Amino acid sequence: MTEPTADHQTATSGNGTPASASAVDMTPERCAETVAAIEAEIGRVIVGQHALVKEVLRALLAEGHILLEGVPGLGKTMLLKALSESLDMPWSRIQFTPDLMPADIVGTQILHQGADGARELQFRPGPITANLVLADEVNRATPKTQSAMLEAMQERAVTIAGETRPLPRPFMVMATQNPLEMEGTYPLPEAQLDRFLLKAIVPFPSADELVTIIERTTGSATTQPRPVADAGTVSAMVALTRQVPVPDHVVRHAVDLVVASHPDHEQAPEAIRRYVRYGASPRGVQAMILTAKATAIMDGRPSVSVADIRAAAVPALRHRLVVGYEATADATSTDDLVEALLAQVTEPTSGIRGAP
Amino acid sequence: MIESFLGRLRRRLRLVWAWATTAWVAPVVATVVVATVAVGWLLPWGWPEPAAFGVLGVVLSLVGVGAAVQRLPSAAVARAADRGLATGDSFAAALQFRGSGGPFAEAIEQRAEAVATGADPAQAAPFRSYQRRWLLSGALLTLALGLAVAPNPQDQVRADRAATNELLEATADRLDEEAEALAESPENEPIVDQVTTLAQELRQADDLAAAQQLLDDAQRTLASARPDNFASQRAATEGLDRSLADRPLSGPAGQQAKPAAQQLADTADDLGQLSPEDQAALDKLAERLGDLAATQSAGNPAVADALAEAAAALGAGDVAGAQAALGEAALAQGAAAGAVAAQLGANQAAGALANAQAALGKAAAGQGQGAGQGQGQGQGAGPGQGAGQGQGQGAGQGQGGGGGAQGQVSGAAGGTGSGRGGAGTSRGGDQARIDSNDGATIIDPLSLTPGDETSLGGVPGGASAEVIGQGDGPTTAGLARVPLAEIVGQYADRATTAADQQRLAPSQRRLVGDYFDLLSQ
Repeated sequence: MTEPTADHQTATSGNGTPASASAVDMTPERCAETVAAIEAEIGRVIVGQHALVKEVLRALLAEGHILLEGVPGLGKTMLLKALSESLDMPWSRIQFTPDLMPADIVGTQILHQGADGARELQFRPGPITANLVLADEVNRATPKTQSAMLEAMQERAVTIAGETRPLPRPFMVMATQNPLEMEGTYPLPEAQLDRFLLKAIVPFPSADELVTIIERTTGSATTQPRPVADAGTVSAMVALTRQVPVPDHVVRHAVDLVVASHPDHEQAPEAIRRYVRYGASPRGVQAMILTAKATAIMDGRPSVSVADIRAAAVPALRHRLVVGYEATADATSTDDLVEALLAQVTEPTSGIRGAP
Repeated sequence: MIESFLGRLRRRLRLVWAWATTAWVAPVVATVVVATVAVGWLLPWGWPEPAAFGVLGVVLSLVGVGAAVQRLPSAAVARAADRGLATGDSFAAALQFRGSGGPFAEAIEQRAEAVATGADPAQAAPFRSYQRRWLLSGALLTLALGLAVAPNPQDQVRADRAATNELLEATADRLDEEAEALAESPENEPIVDQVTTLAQELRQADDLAAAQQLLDDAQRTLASARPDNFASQRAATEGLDRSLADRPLSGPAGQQAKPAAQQLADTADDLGQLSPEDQAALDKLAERLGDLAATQSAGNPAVADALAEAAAALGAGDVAGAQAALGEAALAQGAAAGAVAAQLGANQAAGALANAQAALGKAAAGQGQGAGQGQGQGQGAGPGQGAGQGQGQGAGQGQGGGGGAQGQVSGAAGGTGSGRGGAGTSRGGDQARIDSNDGATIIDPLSLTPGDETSLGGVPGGASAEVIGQGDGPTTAGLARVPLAEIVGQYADRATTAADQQRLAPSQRRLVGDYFDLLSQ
């Protein structure tokens, strides 16, 4: 059994919904300010990648998990580390390999002999027991191991020897996939992918950004993010995010987008009919709504707009469309299909002729 | 502030809706207008052009009404404001979550208030240009206007039709006036109904030919209802009235202006007061009644018989019988006077119809001028009247006139239609008879030589001919001695029959009728 990679720190900040003084005082304005501060602290370490950072923060506020897809070396681990430090929350990193076992993730019971010679079984939590978890190259582990982690993601708890142990809150898994080197991998099945709130594409940095990265990482000076929040603050922000109101027509628009992603639906665009085998599940709607709420509160707006929904459509739906071989043959990505969806299902209008 | 802004925006949205709807329907309406106006170029209908632009008015009115009554829910107005001002659904959220509580309610309200402050509804709901639609619609409407203004091959047809309708209306009005005049006499009630109905039918007639046909039918109906012996009946009836007015059966002349029927009735009553000693007066009365009976034998045989019977009874001293006979004579005279009055009303109506027919005929001739062909033929000798008939081709009616031995009507060829020959007067020649198409004969007494027989109603000497006398030439006393009062009725009847058969113009037929009417008086 291969042990998880280092950097594993056990959770220390709570086992459910951590109480914090900041949670009581959380307001929309303070939430927006805190998010801006976190973003700024991350920006001190991470060069560029603003959109990716925002996606991660949206997933954090929505208390969802995010799947990152990008080649190695783009700063995914550093991003999670910077996020952890700015939030003052424990984090762990699990490097998935084919021989990784479920117990390596969720933890196990070991036989412990006390000073008095008495032996007892003690639970040793796995790396999943952290507020922030980086599941690196999750598609390299076997489905059995993947399933163990994804179950923990979904249930936010692990069950060892018949005992269920809740995971600390807030809890977010940031899994990565390497789009290259697909040989010998176990792509995540659709049902597992559905458990990720968002899927973000980690872009290659621009030349200017790369220059800055080189300057920062090859010198002697190191920059450490300062903690600007804690687990209690984040939990309060998560709770507040859930309270952001969503107008009816906005919810309706999200639903329209998801139902139109099904190839047999009358509003489905031609590309969906041609390339998609199965459309997004109801979790897709939930993902869009939660992401849109997070977007609104991050922007300091008190309610969700249609634009928030449409902005959340690509990251929330791109991994939820099950495409056929025709899409691969025609080099049509799920991003293209979601864009076609957005083009087909336009923003709801007033319904008054001549009016916007 | 939010409500105020949304209220202003709602009014603005009604205008935007009207504008957009108009732009949306404009090409369709413009196409309909062009098609309708084009119909006016192809068919001689009068309604296409007014209807085409009426459609425009109706559509615009409907759009206006629709904009006024259009239901604009607050959520829709808020959505329009959000989209128009890019507020991030501020108004929609404010409307939905107002008063809902929670940490965001106040912020939502304040955000919407801030957006509404100073916001311009025109900016939220601008008028779109719809440039292509308006260009297309404008081009089509310009085309429609051009087609409506440009000279139209159907314009003349429509103008002619309008003139025809105006003429028919005027003719019907004159007939109505005539009916009102006739209605003053209760005996004319059936005629009044006929004339009134005819006026209505004329107003609904499709064209002049149909109107003329109606008038022809009406005239034919009136003519058929006219008694054959009307002239003699009228002469006898009115002659009896005049005779008794000049010489009353009792009392001094001129003092009694009572009609004959009344005098006869009074005389019957007076007979009861006479004693047998007044035999001389009875004989005198009998003789007078006998003379009167003789004057009534041709035109008023019922009165003549009754008077003759009364005279005979008086001669026999049968006063009661004489009273009864005089009573019958009075009744017969009254009935005859009523019939004559009714017929005179019919004659008056016939005259009005004839005038209407003439007016329509003149208009028809005017319409057919230069577009018809016709031929007329007439033969005549000496003073007389000839009739011409013509058949024409062309879009109208031709007019022909018989002049001398032959009348001809000609017109420029064009189209296909029917022509009607007119009437002409022919003179010259030394033939005493003018042979008409149906063989009726009009006698010229001046051309007769002594001993010539005159006949009526057919070819002289034929089975249908009736010898009415012998001519005595212009200066020679004839052998025939027939009292005018006895023969004028037959003359009138024959002349009327002949005139009808000759298909003379109504005015000329009326002239013949008037002549014999005057002659009988």
